[in-house]
Amino acid sequence: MLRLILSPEWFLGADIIIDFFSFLVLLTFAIISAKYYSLSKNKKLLYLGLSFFLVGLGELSKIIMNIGLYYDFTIAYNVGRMIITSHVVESIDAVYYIGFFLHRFLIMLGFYFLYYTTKKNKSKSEHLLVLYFIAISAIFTNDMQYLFNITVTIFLVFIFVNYLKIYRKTRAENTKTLATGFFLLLISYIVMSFSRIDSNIYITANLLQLASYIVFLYIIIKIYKHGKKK
Amino acid sequence: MAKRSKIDIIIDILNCINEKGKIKPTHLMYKSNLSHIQMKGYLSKLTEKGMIEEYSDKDKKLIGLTKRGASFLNEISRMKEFQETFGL
Repeated sequence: MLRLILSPEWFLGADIIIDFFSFLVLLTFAIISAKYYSLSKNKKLLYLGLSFFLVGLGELSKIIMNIGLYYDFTIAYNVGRMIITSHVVESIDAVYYIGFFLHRFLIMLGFYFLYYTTKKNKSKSEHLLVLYFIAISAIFTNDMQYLFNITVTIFLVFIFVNYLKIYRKTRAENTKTLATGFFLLLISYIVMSFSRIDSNIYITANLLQLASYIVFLYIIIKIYKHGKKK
Repeated sequence: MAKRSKIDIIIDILNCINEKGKIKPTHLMYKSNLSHIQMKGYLSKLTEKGMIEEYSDKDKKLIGLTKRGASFLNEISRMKEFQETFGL
């Protein structure tokens, strides 16, 4: 199977570092949520932590697959006999397929969880229905990356609007910053949808992703410092 | 008014002590809106956990925060801010 690497050669690896940074920020949010859940037993904190953990795992899956794609071309070329080569290539393809499927599935599931964390009305049937559509989208967008990006953008639009509503209600500065972070992230997914056109678009999307996770990190630092001051 | 959870009551108690520095048990009881029995239970638990300690000043019994209690209160304030950020 032909795999398209969207990153220009000089940017190879930089996108992995950005993804790794995103993963660390997501993991920090998940750990903080779990820690505060153990203190307060507020189940919403548990779901929040779970959603960040799922998105984080999705990012990790992408990181592992990209490392394989960028730095491990030798397996397919160095095998001597054709039959073995074919088997190896097929098994590598299967690993990539599963890896990128997990990336798409976990990210969509994580963002869906994040959206529903602050919602009151939840029904099991609704969850199952969305879960079904997420699985279908994750399976069938393997060769249509832009469709996955559009689906995530839709989730992020809902999340962004949700935090904007919360900000209007509470006027909490951190919520405004959080909404800004999600706005940057949703723009990065929109830009990423067009990344096949030009490699500069891919770089722009990655930089926007980096900016959004810097904003999220800033929130963590601000909360930590504020607590220390008191 | 919604019923306070155990953690909310503990936060109220620690906040009352923190505001005053050191406080008489009776004052603390009124300020944190608890009965005598409830108060006794919470104070013994918080002493056991090393978050508060008793002082005596001219036959008066006073309660103050320990370092552990103060750092717990900081952590709680961070938690509240975190929850507020996400609208939880």
